[in-house]
Amino acid sequence: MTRNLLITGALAVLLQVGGMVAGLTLSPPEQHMSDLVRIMFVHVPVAWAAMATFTVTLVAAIGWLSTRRWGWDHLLDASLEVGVVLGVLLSVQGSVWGYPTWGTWWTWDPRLTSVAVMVLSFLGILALRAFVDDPDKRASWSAAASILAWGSVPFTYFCVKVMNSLHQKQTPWGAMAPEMLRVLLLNTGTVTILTLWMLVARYRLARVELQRELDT
Amino acid sequence: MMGVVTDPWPYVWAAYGATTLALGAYLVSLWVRSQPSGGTSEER
Repeated sequence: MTRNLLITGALAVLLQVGGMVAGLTLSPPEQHMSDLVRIMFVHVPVAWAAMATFTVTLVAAIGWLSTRRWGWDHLLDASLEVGVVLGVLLSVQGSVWGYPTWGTWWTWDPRLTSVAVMVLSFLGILALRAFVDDPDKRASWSAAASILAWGSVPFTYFCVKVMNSLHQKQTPWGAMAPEMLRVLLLNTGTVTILTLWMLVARYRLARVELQRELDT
Repeated sequence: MMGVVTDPWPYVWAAYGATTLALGAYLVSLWVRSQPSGGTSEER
């Protein structure tokens, strides 16, 4: 890891810590959710980052299949792994919010089920990559599978709007109290910066790993 | 909306703790794997 990458990483972590402290202290309790609203300040940004990262996977998959340039496969590799980490974290945060709100850690609700399908689909592609030795086949198969798996991303986003779901619908920006909106936007920014940093670091790692693989 | 608990703070701390642990662990794993040995003992 280069010095510049370490310094920018440390800054991204500091920003993230600042965002989380703001989430714990700056927002007032919400009328119905009380202090549980603070979970939203980390849950919603992670949801956005996970879906955006899986969309990067889709772009990388199309890029690889149309150009066969290794950079696209490195990006696919990076975004798959970062997306799965964010997706698992998203599910844990949602579960921790669900118990005090709904009285259950997990239910087969359309939104929760679609998130599980989304994360498990991409986790399966990560496993596929681990089991295929030929780099060219690995890149092509995981790219094709990623395009199929990406279908779960818009479904996950829109299902609460069109299906009868226990999960609440997206709150319109204008309906949120300004002091809560500020904290949510701050955390959306910090999570986005940290996600971009993780993608860059993992992309470089993927490049080194392929080189090591080809050298042996 | 709060149905079954009277004190939300343990859940708030759990969510923030999980976020810190997950992101922190992943960042450490990125750092370890980026070392020249790749984090494997046989190459050290």
